[in-house]
Amino acid sequence: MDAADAVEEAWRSESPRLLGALLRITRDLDRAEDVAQEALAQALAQWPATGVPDNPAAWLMTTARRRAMDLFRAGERQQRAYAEVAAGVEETVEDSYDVDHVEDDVLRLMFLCCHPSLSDDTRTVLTLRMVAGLSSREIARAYLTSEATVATRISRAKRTLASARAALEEEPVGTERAERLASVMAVVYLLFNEGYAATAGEDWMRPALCAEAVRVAAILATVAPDEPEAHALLALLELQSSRLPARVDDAGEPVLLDDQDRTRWDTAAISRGYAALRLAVDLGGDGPYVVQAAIAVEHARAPSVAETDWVRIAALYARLARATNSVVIELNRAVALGMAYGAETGLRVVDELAAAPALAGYHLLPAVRGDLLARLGRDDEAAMEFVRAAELATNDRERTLLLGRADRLRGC
Amino acid sequence: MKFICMIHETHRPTPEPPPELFAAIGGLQAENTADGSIVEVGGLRPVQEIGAIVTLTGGSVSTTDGPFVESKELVGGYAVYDVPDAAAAAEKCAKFLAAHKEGWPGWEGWIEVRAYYEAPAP
Repeated sequence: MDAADAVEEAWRSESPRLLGALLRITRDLDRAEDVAQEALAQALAQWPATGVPDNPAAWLMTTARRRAMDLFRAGERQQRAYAEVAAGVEETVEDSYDVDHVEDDVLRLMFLCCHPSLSDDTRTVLTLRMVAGLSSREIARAYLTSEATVATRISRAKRTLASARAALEEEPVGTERAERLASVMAVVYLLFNEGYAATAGEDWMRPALCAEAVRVAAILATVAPDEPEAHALLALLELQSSRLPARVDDAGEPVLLDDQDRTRWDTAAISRGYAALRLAVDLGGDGPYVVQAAIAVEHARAPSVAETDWVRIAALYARLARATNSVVIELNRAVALGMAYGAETGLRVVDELAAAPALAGYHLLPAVRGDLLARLGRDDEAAMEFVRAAELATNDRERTLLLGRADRLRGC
Repeated sequence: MKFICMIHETHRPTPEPPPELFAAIGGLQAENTADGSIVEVGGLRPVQEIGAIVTLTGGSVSTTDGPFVESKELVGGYAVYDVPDAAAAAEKCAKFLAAHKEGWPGWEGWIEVRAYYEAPAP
């Protein structure tokens, strides 16, 4: 492997640990990133001559930490004193050098990237950059935006965090910790969903974004191993990912669950999903991600749509709807009810939901309604719903799919 | 290289493992997912509970559904890793057993690390 590749690989796997440790020493995300970049530059300069070290990650960590310490000694005492007072830490920087804080460091970094002072979009971008180790260019490609936009967003986020003194906060405990964990999980979930059904553009999904979300979920479960919901989120994402190979046809067109070739599902990912969910349950978990993963399991183990246990899925959605109070979940429950007890039943629930303001403009509401109407043989009404859904859809591939269904119902 | 690692249990100190064990092996499993080294994983139910042993001996094939005499040791699960070499696979297993030592004191067992044949060259 050449030196540049080795540097890139080490960075991608080590960025959360590296930045987490540097963040603890510098108490500033910007500075932590600067120091990390310097270590990477040093690696790029040295490795071609000296060869790639046996343990590139350890080399980067040592180099970066040494540089961070130099910065302190070079007159950043004020910053340090301030950091210690604010964070209530007694330890000296030298102590923190030896103690194994890796898990806390990474978790702190994740909390910071998903800090309440930041918007959801900014949280996902910052998490991709700091935790997943993606460059601004890679993030821009994933979000179909310009590198400059991403860079601006990141520097603005750093300013927001600095003015909120977010990096100086004490590690949250109790309910605050639970809330911060929940916000990290929400960001990971958002990231995955953006990859699973891209909200805009030509591609129906962006598998690379899904893979990053799985990796970030795994990092979270690594550093919060006693949190059942963290394992459940990982399970959910593994199970959803298992269907990625079947979700597009050879022409790149979307294939919905009903029509998917289940032999293309990734059985290895399913096995990892089962194992992660089992851990979550064994740890006593019964939260929203456990329930969602349980729903995903029902799909994963069903040989076909017809042989799926829709009664159980509908019951799980009901449990989820009670816990989350979400109309989108209710809509999913309507689909499951329609499968379990007939389209008539599903339609009744959808019609109740149609009035909910949160679903106005949500393309899946008319899409689901159209589906149920079609199953009842009310083709004209169904076609109208699919046209309406197509008008609301923001993804090009999905719009084409919906219009195709409308056309078929009209006998075109 | 792909390795299948089968966990043989020889001593179980309590009927069910404590939550500490789940957190410990859960953390490892997540770590192996994050670094992409884990391919597949599965837990196996005790053969006394469900399963069979099918034998060919003395020219005849027979199936035993139990009771089994050989119940002192059982394979409790397996993991398939994709790692550079056997040493790396063994290291994963050593960590897995260390997690048992911490999370389920008194547990004893061993892990069989086996390499898959690569695709045959015609």
